[in-house]
Formats: sequence, C-alpha cells, structure tokens
Amino acid sequence: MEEGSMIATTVSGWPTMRGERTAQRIPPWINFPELSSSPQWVSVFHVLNWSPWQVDAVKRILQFQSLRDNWDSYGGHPPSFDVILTASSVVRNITLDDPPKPRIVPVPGGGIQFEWKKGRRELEIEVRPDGSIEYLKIDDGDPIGDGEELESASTGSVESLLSWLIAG
Amino acid sequence: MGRGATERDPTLPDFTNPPVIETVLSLQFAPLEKFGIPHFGLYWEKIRSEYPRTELHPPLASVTEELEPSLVHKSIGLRIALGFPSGLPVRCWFIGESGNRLLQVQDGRFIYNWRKIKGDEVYPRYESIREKFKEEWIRYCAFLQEENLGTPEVTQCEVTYVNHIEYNSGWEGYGELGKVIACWKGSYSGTFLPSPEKVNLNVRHLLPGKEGRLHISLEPVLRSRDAVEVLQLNLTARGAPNSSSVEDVFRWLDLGRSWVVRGFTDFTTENMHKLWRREV
Repeated sequence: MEEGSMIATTVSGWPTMRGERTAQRIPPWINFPELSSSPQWVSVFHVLNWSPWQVDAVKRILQFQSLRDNWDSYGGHPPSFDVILTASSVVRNITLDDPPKPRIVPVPGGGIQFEWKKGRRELEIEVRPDGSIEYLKIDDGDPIGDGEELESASTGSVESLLSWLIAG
Repeated sequence: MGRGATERDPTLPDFTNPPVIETVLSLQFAPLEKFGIPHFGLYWEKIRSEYPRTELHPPLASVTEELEPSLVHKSIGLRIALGFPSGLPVRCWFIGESGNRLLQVQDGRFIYNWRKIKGDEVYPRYESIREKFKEEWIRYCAFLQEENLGTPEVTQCEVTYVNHIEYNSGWEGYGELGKVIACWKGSYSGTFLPSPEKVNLNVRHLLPGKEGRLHISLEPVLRSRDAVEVLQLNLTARGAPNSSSVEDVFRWLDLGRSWVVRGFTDFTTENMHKLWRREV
C-alpha cells in the first residue's frame, strides 16, 4: 500500500490546476478535519472517541487500498482514497448506541458497499467511484424503488436509514 | 545554536532507530499583496522536475504564539492566536518524485515535509532535511523577487516531529503508558478505576527568553497507510525569529528542533530509549 498513490486524486469540489471545477459534492475530508487542518502529511484518523466497531470497520475499509486492478478477476478497480474517506465518514457518522453492524465489501467499479440485514429488512449503502452515495431498501426480499441517492454521509442521513432498518 | 548547517550538535540526544515518521518545517509570513493563483503554476514550472505531482487543499489557518499577556486575556495569561486563513483559498501541494518529500505553498505559508511511506525507510536526519528546506526557501524567495511579489516577512517558524509508537512494542496498552511516557505514573490513588481504555494528552512549555513554545500532544490514531492503530506523539516548536533573514529564520528552526529532540527525550522513558537505540 503506498500512501502517496492513495491521495493523488483531486478533492471533489475544488478547482483543478487547469481551473476546472469538479462535481459540487461535499469534500470527503469535511468529516475528518484532522486530514486538512494541519500541515501533517501522514494521514491518520483521530480515534479517541470512536467505538471499537467503528475502528474495526474503518480498518476494513482502509484495507481495500491494497486491492489491485482486476482484484476480482473481472477487471475490478480498487477504491480511490476519496471513496475510502467517504465510506469512512459513513461509519464515523453513525452515533447510535449499539447499531446493527454492516458487512462491508468492495464493489468492482471502485466503490464500497455496506450491507445490513435485520429481520425481514435489508439496507444497502454504496459509495460509488465518483463519491456519490446510493442506498437501497429491501423489505421481505422486495427492493423499495430503484435505489436513491443520498445527499451526504451526514449523521442524519445515514441514521434515518438505519432507523428504518431497525424498526422492521 | 551557532553551528554549521550540516554539523550535528553532539550534545543533542541521538537515536539510531527513532519512531519519527514525519518531520515538518514551516514558515509563516504576512500574505503578499500581489500573489495570485497563476503564481502557483509559475512556481511549479521552476520545481516541476523535482516535484512532478500536485494536489490542492484548503489553506491552513495562521497560528501565532502570543507570549505577552494581552489586556483581554490577562486573566488566563499566555495564549495562542488562531486566525482565519488570509489571502487565497488554496494550499498547493508539490510532491517529490519519491513520494517522501512535499512542499506545501499557500499565500502566507511555506512548508517542507519529509515522511516515511513504507515504514522501513531510514530517517534522513534533520541536518539533511534542513539543508534541503533552506535551498527551497531561497529558491522560493528568488521566485517571488523575479515576479516582483515582494519579500516575505516571516512571523512564525515551526518545527514538528510526528512519532508513531506502535502497541506491543515495549508496552501492552494504555494500562502501561507509564512505560512510554516518563511523567505518567500509571496508577491511581485508589483501586476503583480500571486501566484507561485510551489516553489523550496535551502539554505545552514556554521556551526561555520568550522565544516561543513547545507543544506536545499524544493521542491514539488509526494510520491510513496500513490500517494500524498507533500512539501518535507530536512535538511542535513554534515562535518568531529575530528577523526575516535566512540566518535568523534558520537559527530559530535549529532552536526549535533542539527543543523538539530534547523535549521528546525528556517526555519518553529510558525503557523506550533502549528500544529506539539511544546513542547519546
């Protein structure tokens, strides 16, 4: 794993050196001010107030950095560091006491997916390669809708979905 | 310190295998009136062969060690002044070919970082990092002159060492923090409390003669590179140089570095010094 290559992508929403502007999404480091508010280069998450499950979940997400192109033998790409950060912020922003723990898996195109199952309800949240976030609710095996975009990985957004899951 | 740039002070503690994973040398100066976005590109042209990759980041806030009690803050004594980033809303990273070296430039800041990437690289030592930073600072000032942007008036110098102390290496968790930190007693006055789950410490010391301040922070972090949880021990010395001359600026950086190294040595235990193979 080479950290230098992890952070080579331009942060979404910031102008590029050519003066272009990328998609107006909330920059993934917003949830981790330690990554952008200090001159320190080695990137770390400050975990003092994290739950043990959050530390374990973000460790798993970080391990996806070691995936190489074609990691699934079907031409899959590894997630970019922006995707890693956005997925980590999904975890960081769950503040419920003893929430259901997700299964976390890489998605072939370079995304990361969270999967929860509670009773007859299932919830999937995917951080897509472009940094957008989509979710799908499944009730009794039937998807509700075609998958909706989540505006951000904010606590309110993610926890309202988890509340639906838990209420099932 | 009055020593030549490449000559190591023989009285400074020295470790063969220190836990340092990054050093940061930083200069803060008053924003330059005429500095604009195109100057990042013009400057990159000068250094591109050595720093071929760039990234854009939000600017850092200005931080000034205030060493005199102000009227407003007299009751709490000395303080640090934090300011909103002034000037352009951009901090540009120029990353060296090897991925170990980084120049961070924003209007009002010039920063040089060295870091470990794999974890097994040999720390190149302050003397060599200082010399490279000096070259880069002189080159940057020459660029500013060429572009008629003025001469930076350096207001703060800063030296930071980032150390990662891994678990199960001389200690087995926060109940044994006293094996790492010299001032940590490691026991309570009673028997009610169990060992701490995690510990976060912030300490600061004044440098004599109102030269600046040394900040020490200790906290658990999850390292992105390898997803390993470690204890991060940061030491930052910050203060104002006597003038903006290269000599005065680097004299202050040498002083700051000396405080960081001596502070690190005092703050940590002899038990850990043995593991880090202290030579002096």
